[in-house]
Amino acid sequence: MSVIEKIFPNVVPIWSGDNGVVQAIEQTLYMTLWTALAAGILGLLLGILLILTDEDGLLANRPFYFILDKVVNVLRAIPFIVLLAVMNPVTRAIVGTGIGPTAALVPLIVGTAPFFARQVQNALLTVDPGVIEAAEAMGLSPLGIIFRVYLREGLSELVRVGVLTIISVVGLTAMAGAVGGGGLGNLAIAIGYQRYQNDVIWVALIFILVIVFLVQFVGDIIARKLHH
Amino acid sequence: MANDAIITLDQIDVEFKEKTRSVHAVDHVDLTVERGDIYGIVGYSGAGKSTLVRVINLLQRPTAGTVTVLGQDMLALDARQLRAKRKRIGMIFQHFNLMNSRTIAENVAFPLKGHTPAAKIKAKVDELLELVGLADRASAYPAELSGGQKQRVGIARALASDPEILISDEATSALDPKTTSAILDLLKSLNERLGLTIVLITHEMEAVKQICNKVAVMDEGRIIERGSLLNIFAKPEQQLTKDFIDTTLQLDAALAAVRKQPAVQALKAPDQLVRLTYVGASTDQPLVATLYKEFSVTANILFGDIQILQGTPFGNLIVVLSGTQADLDRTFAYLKANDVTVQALNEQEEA
Repeated sequence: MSVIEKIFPNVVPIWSGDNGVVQAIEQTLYMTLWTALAAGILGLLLGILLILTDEDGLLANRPFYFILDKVVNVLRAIPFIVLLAVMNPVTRAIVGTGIGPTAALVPLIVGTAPFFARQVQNALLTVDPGVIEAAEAMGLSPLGIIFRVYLREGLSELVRVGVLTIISVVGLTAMAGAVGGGGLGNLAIAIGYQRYQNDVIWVALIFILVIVFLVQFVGDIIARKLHH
Repeated sequence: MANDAIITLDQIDVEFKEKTRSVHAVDHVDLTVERGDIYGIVGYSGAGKSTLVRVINLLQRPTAGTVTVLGQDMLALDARQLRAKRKRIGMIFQHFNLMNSRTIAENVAFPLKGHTPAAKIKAKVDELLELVGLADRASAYPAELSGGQKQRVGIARALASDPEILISDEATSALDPKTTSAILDLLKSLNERLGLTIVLITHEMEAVKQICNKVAVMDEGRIIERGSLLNIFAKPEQQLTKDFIDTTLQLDAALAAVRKQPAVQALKAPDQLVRLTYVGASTDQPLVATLYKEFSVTANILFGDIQILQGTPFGNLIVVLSGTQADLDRTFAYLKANDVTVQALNEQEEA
């Protein structure tokens, strides 16, 4: 019996194969990456719309901002575990099933996009309004100002909130896992916790932390490169 | 010199509606700026000058009135046409408003990107950085520059699209006096070399004095006084204008010091403490000597300040005039006839 088998007696038999540790890692990465991508694009879009239509925005539009602002607030107010349940019929309609990592993507994206939208809005609010005014005075179009001023000047801040959001998504995937999404969260709860196999819980936790630290590490490097 | 109006603001009104009240930031202002002018608009903060100049490039849309710039009715333009027009109007700001994520060269190139070939942009940026004296800092970031250098970058950027008008919004207010003076000199040279028309708003009459040929004084959304620099300095009518000028000339401080002198403390009738203000031609005459020779009146100069405004001498003297009442009366008549403004500075009265 090797050392590893002694410390992790319950992990070794389920390392590979269906519902194994490797698969759980893959599922967590799968859910995190696709959620980050889809919610990232959606949240960025919504965040930019919030900035533009705000009272002092380039395309100020009070009713539009009012509605979007409220929608974002309401979606953010729903506890994720409740959102999972509420979204179940929608998920079934879109994906065809309520179980598995792909099905988990639907509530993950719906839960993450508004969170990220607000983060994007706050990140872009740090862009000096004077610089926006200068760009307007130079004859830039609103689209030009979004891409060449907001997204450029706010980039290091966007990276920062992006990292924050991805880390929160890793956390959410664990929760989604617990209700049938798979991944490391599912591993920790469905196997480790339910069967009193503490070594499985620890291994799941270690891999979750490794993913979080990697995201933070890469994010910090990028943010540092962007800062002048 | 045949001038033509390059900016005409006609009955401009700007009202900001707030929940409970409305603020009349600009109140029916007319303003004409001619090609080649360096037009100073001076006033305290909140006077409405920033709002007024933003009407020129429609960063601020007026509630009422018409805006004609470079012969074009600005309010008739659609969004695209307005953007094209804005490229003809450069603007510099109090806080420079540079992009911190871009280098100096990239900041200057910013207005040109997208519609100008790269080689042409490079040549233009080099030329502009040379012009403002920052050729060696092209690859630095704004955070590495001093305030004066940042404003030079702001000026280079504003000039990138070859504008005919430059709006300067308190551009020197965040700078120390020496840097301020250097930036103003740069603006003046751009005006002379490129024929750039400049609208300069400031709360410092000093800046106006250094480079402007025309001045408007703003208070509570209105232009209360306007004219050529010399006329405004020589014959200000509104109290606010006088205050601005006196602050610049440091007459207040001088007068306070003068009042403490024995010659003034022991002043006896008919001797009088007066301020003499004169412009141009009248300066050339040996004023003090004339008063003594012609009228037997002695002038004890307690404070004197002579400046060159727009190439014309502009003098302020605080003197005690001594002589008989009759001689003094004749003296005042003579001074008036020779365009010297006499202001009596009686003991208790605040000048």
